[in-house]
Amino acid sequence: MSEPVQITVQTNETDSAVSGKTETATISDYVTVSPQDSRVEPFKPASPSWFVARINPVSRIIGALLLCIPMFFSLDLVSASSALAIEFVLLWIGGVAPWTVCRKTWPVWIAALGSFISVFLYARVSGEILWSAGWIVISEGSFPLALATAIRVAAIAVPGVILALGLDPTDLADGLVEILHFSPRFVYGGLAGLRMFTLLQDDWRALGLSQRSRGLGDGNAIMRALSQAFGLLVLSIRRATKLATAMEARGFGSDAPRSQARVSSLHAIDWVFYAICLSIPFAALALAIATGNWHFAFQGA
Amino acid sequence: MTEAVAKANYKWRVVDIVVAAIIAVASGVIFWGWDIVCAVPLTLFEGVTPGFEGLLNGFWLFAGPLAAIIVRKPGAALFAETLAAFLELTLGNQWGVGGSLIVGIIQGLGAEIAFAVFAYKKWNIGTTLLSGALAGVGCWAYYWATNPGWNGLRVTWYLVGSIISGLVIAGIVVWFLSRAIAATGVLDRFESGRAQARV
Repeated sequence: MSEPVQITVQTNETDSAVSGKTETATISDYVTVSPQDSRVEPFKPASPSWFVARINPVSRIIGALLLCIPMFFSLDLVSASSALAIEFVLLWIGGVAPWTVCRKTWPVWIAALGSFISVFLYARVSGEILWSAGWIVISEGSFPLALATAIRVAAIAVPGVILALGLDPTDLADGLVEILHFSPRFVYGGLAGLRMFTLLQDDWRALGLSQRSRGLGDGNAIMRALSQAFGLLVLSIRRATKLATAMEARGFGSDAPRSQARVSSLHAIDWVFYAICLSIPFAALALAIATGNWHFAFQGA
Repeated sequence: MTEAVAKANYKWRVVDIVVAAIIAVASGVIFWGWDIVCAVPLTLFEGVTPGFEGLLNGFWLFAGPLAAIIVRKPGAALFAETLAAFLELTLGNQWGVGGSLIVGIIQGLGAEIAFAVFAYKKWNIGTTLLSGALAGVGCWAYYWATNPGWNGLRVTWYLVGSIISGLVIAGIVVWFLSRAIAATGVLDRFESGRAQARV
């Protein structure tokens, strides 16, 4: 860090020159700022993928929906695994290596494992019953059904998780208002709430410290966490009420037309992205239909 | 118990939006924490029991009912649950856009129905319970769609578990939580806070 730069407030000097008084400058006459290039603002990439980082945040949400909704209609090994494979390859082309994908999406695989177990043990009966004990019924169709479900869970979740990485709420809010024409009151009001998230972390720490300094909360850790969480909720509502007053004082929420500080628009790359997002599930479904493996998800086993 | 005086005002003020948003943010953090805490127990429940993991759903259901009962505006449950789900999504979890955002919207719609059928005039423990239960039904609907291979028994147990969990955590707990918040006086700009003060 270099030395802080002092900026003299110009008007005050001319004032004192005109009035002829010998005023010593008070504290408020100087605004101490650090030079722009010495500020350390950690650069946060909008996405691990160079391609995804270039598209509009709204497109990322829409694209993720386009990717996963068609997949809900099929439940078979071919469509699920081919969709997952295409997604992995495309993400690799887009700059996210498969091992990075696996590392970033590890909870997905736990969820997929859970789905596998639940369907394997409690699937709709198809074919001969191989083993049953109590509620558990394992039939011939259980294993393929469970495997298809698990891969389908991954195929639905993996692109959604990767596309959401690094998504900036402010950029998304701009897109929602300017591209999808959502009500700016709700979008920016919601954004204001989201932006208080970092503040809540500080509040949590401060609440903990103040409890400590009063000698409270040495007993049960769960009780302490609960009482602190309640305190945080009350504090955050108080903050929100104050914030709302401040926002209204600056004219937020009036019926007057709004202008936008930042421009959010769709470009050719967004349309390319939509095309890719639509083609992945449909290619997977087409492959499953062509090979005769397609299975409508909500039909009996 | 306080019965809300029914003079319905459907117009959202800025304070309604921001407070609903902050409730959603606080809830979203809890959703996300629950995602992590739950990953292993959920898998265990899925394996050992026929669908009792629905009982764990309650911690993902309460944002909508809580915001609705405090703010008392049409759409509050849907708005808060969606925003909470969005925060959960951006913090990163195992379900991506589908299992966080879509399910959040469905749960929010469920929670919303409970207040909508009474034309947003009844804000008592009954509608809160109904709201929590219907949010549970929403959650069940999504997970059934994710695991269509489940047999009838499992689908039923999951629905029952999800509703019970919604009733308890997104219903009873939310109601008493909202009363406790009102008792602190922080809701003095809301009807939910004033109704308490009048008693």
